[in-house]
Amino acid sequence: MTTIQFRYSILLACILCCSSCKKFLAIPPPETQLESLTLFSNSSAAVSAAMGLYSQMMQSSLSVSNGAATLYPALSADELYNTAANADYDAFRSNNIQFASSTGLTRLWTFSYRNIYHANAVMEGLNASASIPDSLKKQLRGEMLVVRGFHYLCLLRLFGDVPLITSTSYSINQSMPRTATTEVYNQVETDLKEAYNLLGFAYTAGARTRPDHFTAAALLARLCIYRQNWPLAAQYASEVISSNRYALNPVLNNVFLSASNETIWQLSPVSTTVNTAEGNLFIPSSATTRPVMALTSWLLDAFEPGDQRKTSWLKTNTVGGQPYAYPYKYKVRTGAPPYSEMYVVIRLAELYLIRAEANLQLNNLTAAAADINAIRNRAGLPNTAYTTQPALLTALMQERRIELMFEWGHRWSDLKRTGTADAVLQTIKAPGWQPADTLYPIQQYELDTNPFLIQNPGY
Amino acid sequence: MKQLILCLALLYPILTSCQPITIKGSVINEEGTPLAGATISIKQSGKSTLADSKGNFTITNTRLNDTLIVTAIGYQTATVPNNERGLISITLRRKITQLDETIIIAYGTTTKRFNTGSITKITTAEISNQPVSNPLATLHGRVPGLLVTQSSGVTGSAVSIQLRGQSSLDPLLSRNDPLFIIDGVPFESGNIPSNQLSSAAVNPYQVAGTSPGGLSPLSSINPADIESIEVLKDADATAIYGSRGANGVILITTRKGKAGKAKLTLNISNGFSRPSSSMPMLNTAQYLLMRREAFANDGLLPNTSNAPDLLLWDTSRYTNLQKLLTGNTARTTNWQASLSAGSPGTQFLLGMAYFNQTNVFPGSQPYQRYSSHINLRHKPASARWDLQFSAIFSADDNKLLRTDLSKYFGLPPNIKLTGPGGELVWQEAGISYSSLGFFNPLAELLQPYEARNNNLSASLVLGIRISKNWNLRVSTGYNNLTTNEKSTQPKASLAPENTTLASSQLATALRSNWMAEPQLEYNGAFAKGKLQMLLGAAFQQRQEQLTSIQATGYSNDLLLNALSAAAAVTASNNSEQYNYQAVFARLNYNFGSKYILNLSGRRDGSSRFGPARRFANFAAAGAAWILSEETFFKNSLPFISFAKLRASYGVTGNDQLGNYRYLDLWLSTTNPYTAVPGLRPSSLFNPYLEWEKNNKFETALELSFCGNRIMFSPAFYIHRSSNQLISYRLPNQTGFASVTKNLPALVQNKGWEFQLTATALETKNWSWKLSANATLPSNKLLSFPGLETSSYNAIYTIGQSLSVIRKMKYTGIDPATGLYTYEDYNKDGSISTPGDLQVLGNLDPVCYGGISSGLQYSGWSVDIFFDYNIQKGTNYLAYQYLNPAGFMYNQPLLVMNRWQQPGKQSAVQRFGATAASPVFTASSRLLASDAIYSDASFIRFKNLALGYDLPASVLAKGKISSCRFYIQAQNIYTFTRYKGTDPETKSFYQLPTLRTVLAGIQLTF
Repeated sequence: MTTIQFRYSILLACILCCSSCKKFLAIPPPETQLESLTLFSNSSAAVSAAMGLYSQMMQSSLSVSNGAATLYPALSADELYNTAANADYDAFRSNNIQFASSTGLTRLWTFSYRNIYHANAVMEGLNASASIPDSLKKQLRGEMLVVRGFHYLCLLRLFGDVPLITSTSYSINQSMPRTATTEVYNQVETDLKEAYNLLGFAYTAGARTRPDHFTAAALLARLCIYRQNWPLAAQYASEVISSNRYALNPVLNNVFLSASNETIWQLSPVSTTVNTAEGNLFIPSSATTRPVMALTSWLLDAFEPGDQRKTSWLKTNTVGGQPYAYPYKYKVRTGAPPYSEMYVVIRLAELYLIRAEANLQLNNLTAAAADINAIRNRAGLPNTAYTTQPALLTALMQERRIELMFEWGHRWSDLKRTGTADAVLQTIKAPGWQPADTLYPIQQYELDTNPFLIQNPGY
Repeated sequence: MKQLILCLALLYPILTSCQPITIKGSVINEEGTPLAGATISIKQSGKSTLADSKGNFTITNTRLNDTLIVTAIGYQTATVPNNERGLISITLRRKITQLDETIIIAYGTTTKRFNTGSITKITTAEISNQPVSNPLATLHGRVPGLLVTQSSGVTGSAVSIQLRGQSSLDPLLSRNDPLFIIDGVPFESGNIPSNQLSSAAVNPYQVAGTSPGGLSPLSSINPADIESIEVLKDADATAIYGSRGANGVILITTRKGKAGKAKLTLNISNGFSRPSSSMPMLNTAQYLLMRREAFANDGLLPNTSNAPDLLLWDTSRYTNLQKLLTGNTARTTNWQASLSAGSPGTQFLLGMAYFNQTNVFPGSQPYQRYSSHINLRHKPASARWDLQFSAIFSADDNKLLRTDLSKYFGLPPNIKLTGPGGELVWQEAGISYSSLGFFNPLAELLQPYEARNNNLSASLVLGIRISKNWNLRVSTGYNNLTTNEKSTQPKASLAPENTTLASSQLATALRSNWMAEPQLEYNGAFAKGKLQMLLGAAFQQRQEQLTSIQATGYSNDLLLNALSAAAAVTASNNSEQYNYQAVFARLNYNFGSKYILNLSGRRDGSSRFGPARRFANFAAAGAAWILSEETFFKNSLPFISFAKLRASYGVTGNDQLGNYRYLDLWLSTTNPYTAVPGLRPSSLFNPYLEWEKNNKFETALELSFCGNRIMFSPAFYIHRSSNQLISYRLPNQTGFASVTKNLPALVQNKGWEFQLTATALETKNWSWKLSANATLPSNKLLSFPGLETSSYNAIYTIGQSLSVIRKMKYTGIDPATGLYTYEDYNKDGSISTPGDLQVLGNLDPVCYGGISSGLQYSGWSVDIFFDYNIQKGTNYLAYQYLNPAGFMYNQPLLVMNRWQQPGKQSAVQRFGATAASPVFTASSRLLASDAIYSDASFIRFKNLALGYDLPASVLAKGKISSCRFYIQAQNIYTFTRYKGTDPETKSFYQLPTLRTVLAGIQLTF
């Protein structure tokens, strides 16, 4: 090889090296993840995207959809108290929430919006997809609308006006101010009504672990009593009750079993060791251990004599001579799959109480009394003795208080929506109680990162 | 005839030596530059003259046998015999001073004299004097502009490195790490913690201003294998690394073999370590006093629910948790062997080492590292090519606990930890520790964590000489870091009431990286100057595969290491790829050894950006003027032996964001839902990501006095980073807490750096060298469009530093109520944020650096080193925001200076017992106030190295060519007024840096 050839061959090698730059940089997407466009061109992947939301809802113990929406309002109201000092629980129990940083607020707020984003992302993916069959699109969209609506119902009841997020665009969402409660309710109503029309009448996966048409109807009924739309509340509740798909479980101990026919929608646990986060938190490890949460004397005193719910849904441990009654609706503390208990989101008993309340407000007293009695009789109590509208209303709220105790914060919401929170809590929760405590504060981080968010009054 | 000529030749000098002759000549240096002002004298007659501006001189009346002595400042004296032709050219060689030592730069070498960029070199001597296992830890205080912070005293823990200030807005979300290059190959793991699982190296409580911790990937490199570390700072030095030079470049060069007789070096040392500082805590008597006073203050009676520690527990028990949990002495063993040999054509070096260091936690958790190193150079005598190969391989095994036990210093000192038989205790008097949020720290000893790293880094450089001026060089390299982690939690280590079953976690990370860089080099003359050109291309691919496995429900603690014995196993994995491509060029022109111009540019492409925004251009210019080569300078300032003025300006970039951030990706959920696999959005995505650009300007003066005995260099720099790539904080209502995006904010880092080295004494037996450096940084947010409506509105203020303290002003303790008070800044009658936030200074270091002294007397040497940092830092009050003094947690002894009765002045508010107490509200505001910051300045006696070399006369009889005994100590004493444990880690519940003393012997055969 002459020197000239040698030099040219080197130059050629250099040129070859420098070509095809763009190709070298075009790398495939990561093997273990799916690009949105690819995902929503495949039906089973799209189903997985929706299933992922349920899995996420049950992934973190005591996130909003897995215990927090029960626990914190129960502490803030008059249902439960924590038996040992705990800064997070103490703050909610004493209605003195430090919004600078609060585990409870993170569990309620952050996880709600994480799930809402997920639902929005699935819906946007479905909208953009050309290859997923319409029937599946409708089904999944309906389910996502139910989940989104459900989360907004939780948020509204805890925080008042909240930002209404209906897309995945962070550039829009990051500066979204609070939306008026009415407007959020309107959105929830629209969502649930759409889902009501989109969703089929059969459970997609046997165990009622995904919402269907009647789930939408049941949540619409719940929404309607919050909006005091009594006729519609009665209508939706009736539809569910008279569908004959569900029945009040005659055995109180079986109401929360995963096979219970009373359940309208339940979330399947995903943990390999725990069924429900509530069962795991509330039930102490042994008969001699002090439970973490115990019933307040106010709730214990509210039971009528002979109420079987006091024996079926409560249990007592005596530690150091002091009895501690603890929630025992869920009876499984630990357990591997198959799960004997799942996390019930909405069940038929609530629908009876909703219809009763609607009928009372509409002055259909007999029908209302019948529904109240259905619940009372199941609990081993006689028919209600009251006949007048105000008396029956009081009886109804009492029934809600016991039947739905430490379940999704119903007591806390009922006190607020009936305007009785102040009257009830002022005396028993003194001196910490202030009227403004009915709404939880927004965490400092959220206020800092979104200057358009305004703190709730009183914080 | 031949004889006659020989005769004449012999006679000729005798004949001519008597005749006076005139010598004409010139004096030049090695680059051919005339040396004006050089002195030429005749040894015999003492006659002398000076060279003129062109280096020419004439001396008359000399004799043939005379000897010329030529001297010039900064050059070696030349002795030249007279030449009969009377016209001679004399080349003077530079004195080999610090100025002419080789400095490694990007794709080449230079000297301090001709360097146009800002580079600090750390030599092997400075590295080997320090008994540390992580090479980054050797840089503490030694490089102006480089702030090195140890995250914890746990072996193998991360060391954070920040060059010339924070440029990124959110240091917790975005990384600001320099690029690390080992023998030309990017060390892609960089300084990002290598662990996936949590361990004792992770900071248990992260409060603003403390490091998150983790395991450092660089600790797998044996510092003894390092020849030098060069820190490249300005645009001129780093722009050729284009995209990745924005935060500086750290070049690590490994040791090389030398030609000559085979040399075997053995180095053995042993030592021990203890925590360098501690914070006295309350003993039981003081603790009980605090608790009872708290209840009295709140007007509450202690009951079994709120005060089991007072009523149900043994109040005469006392455990000094600090002593129990971190009181062990850690042991260090270090064995090194290396063999170096070679001929002029081939040289090699082989090294092997073993390092073992235990922890200060109870029990033995050794960190062990086996490392080997090979370096080979081959250049056949008459061939056009040469080859250089180097590889380091290390296997380390870091056995730790899962949690830093310092986390538990806050447990009540009368807590019962063990029963009469030494068994773990989980409750006392029916009150389980878990119901109080406590955990028995001794159970942590049963939860081991282990990280094993295998690190291979190899490079091969093939050089081909194409012609006299042109060279081709092809560098190829590969590195691979494999991390295997294992963490187990046996049932015996868990509270009996805990539902969690015995579990284990396994994690594997495979990170590999290959690169190839063909380069074409030209070296030649151009218009009376020296021209160097470099053209090159770079290809690089990085792959990362992460797997993690969680297994729970082991029925038997003995089977914890067998996955098949677990009731449930969940696994996740992730795989990422990063491709990178560049072309680059550099042009260096040196005119007359006085004026040097250096231009560099690079076009980069990175797969981390979307297809439309992958490429970007970066360039820099540097120039230097060696003033001391100018005649006017030599005449007017003869005491300055060297002076150089240099300046550089350029643009560098940053692509340190995660991979695939421009794609909308979904990943698998941890668990399926009703047996159907689930998917979830992995993060917010941004298809519009583009390169971050950093503009850097620097100017510096380099001066040497008294024949280079004193060297002083002030430097001034301004770095401005714009279009920042950051993890932008978002309110959670967006679904996530951050998104990666470009932010048009402009951040400026400006500062002065000073470096002084002096040879105080230099005689046959004595040598004393001193050096000091100082950095005075300043950081400012110049602009941030839309700050007021952005998620950073409550954190940053335009015109202030990024570490601005925007908090409520702490106004001391109200003498009447005994509570912490804060200024009502907006005078609205209530203390609230953000209305009461105000700018109260910043957390940037005011000044930092180091001071060193090296004294040698015949075989003895004493090296000492101090580092210092004038700064503010997070103090112990930061940990009181949730557990105020008086609650069921132990506190530092400092809290005894609390408010007791109206009118009392104190540093800590009155004790309070429960969350209903006003004490709780007052202290929950601490974190939002400036009370948690106080002076954290320190001067640390960082390093002491004593050595003694046996004199050659003693060794002469044996085969040993040198024998050295040494003692080294690290973190010896810290002078500080800091209210906390360690002003460096600034974390109260984290193991402080360790004080280490080590003794050893080094033998060379």
